[in-house]
Amino acid sequence: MFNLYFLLSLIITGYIFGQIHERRHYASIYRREKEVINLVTTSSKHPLGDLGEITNATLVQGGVVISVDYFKRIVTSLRNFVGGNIRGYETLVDRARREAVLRLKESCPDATQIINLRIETSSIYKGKGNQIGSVEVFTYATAIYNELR
Amino acid sequence: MKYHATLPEQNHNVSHQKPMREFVTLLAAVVAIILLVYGVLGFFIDVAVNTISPEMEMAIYESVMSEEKPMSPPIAVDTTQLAIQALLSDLSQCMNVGFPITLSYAESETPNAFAAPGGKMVVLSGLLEHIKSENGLAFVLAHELGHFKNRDHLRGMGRGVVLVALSFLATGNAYLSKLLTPVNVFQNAQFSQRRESDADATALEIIQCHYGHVAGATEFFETMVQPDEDLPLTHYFQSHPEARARIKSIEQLSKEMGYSKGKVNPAFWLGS
Repeated sequence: MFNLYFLLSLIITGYIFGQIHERRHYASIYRREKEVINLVTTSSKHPLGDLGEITNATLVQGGVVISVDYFKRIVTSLRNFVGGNIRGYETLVDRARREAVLRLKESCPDATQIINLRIETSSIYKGKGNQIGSVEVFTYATAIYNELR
Repeated sequence: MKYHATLPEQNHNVSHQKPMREFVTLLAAVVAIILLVYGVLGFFIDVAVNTISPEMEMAIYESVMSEEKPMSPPIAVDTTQLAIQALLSDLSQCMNVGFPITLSYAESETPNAFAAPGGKMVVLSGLLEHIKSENGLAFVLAHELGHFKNRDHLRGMGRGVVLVALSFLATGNAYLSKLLTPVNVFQNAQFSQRRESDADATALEIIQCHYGHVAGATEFFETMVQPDEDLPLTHYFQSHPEARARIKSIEQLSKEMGYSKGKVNPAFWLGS
């Protein structure tokens, strides 16, 4: 019986804090994406348009690790029975991707363009045993600069 | 080409569903699936139990349990064990279980007795400390005889196996089995409580047949009544009906059957 109450309190705690955190995180993502919207970022190997002489090019990177909360974990294990979209993990990975790209862009605010953007995802200690899993998203790209800017 | 930067109007990369509603729907679906599987398997166990003859049970049990170690060191055969064995065989006269019952008396502080596969009745020594008369003990022994008669020991074991299989094989997940176990325990407990009440009724019959009255029948449960300190709803999850409810139903049943109460025999193990 104690186990059940304990488990319920974990789920409720996970739900409340997980939701608050997610809402705040999305608000921050939307705000910051607007701030850096004019920094052109592409996955292309070549700059967009004619930039003239490129004076500098550097490797830039952005990374983030976000933990799964207990509520998402339980919903996901229930989802394993019936199949379908795992919403909890969709938002988790979406947040991580966008946060990583934002951090990358914020690391080089004076760049003319960011090209060759690559995104890598990995899970940290895959949720074995009693461990709660986390997702890591790492992005890297080339920031290029020219004087016309 | 003029580059024109915009942000998407809405997030297309995530499903838009309320997380709590998703949780509740999923939980209800999974619980329904589990109850269904458990119910179906429980039905098959009942069918299997009805087709397994006592001889077959004995043969299976002996082949599987040949290297079984005793759960706790058995006490050397003493007068108490012999007296319990004698009382048990007297009670068996009133109720033909269909196969021989061997008594196993073990040292343990837990006041309990149970029916094990292979016609083995285990009586723990702690039981005798809670019972003050021969009739009280006779009721407990008769109750276990009732379990043997109804083959509840096989049903209980079969359901236990299904329970473990369901919660660990199906989910394969320690978190989920924790969440779903109460469901199984609840259903199992409801099933088990019904079986216990049946065994109580059988026991009452045996006691009436042996002594000619049913005094002492509720004695053991009276010592087990505890003040309500537990969390609410707990008794719905217990395998045995609550002691007070049991006393009440035994009293009611003996009234319905017109059984009377006489003088109880003293406890032979207390060495008057």
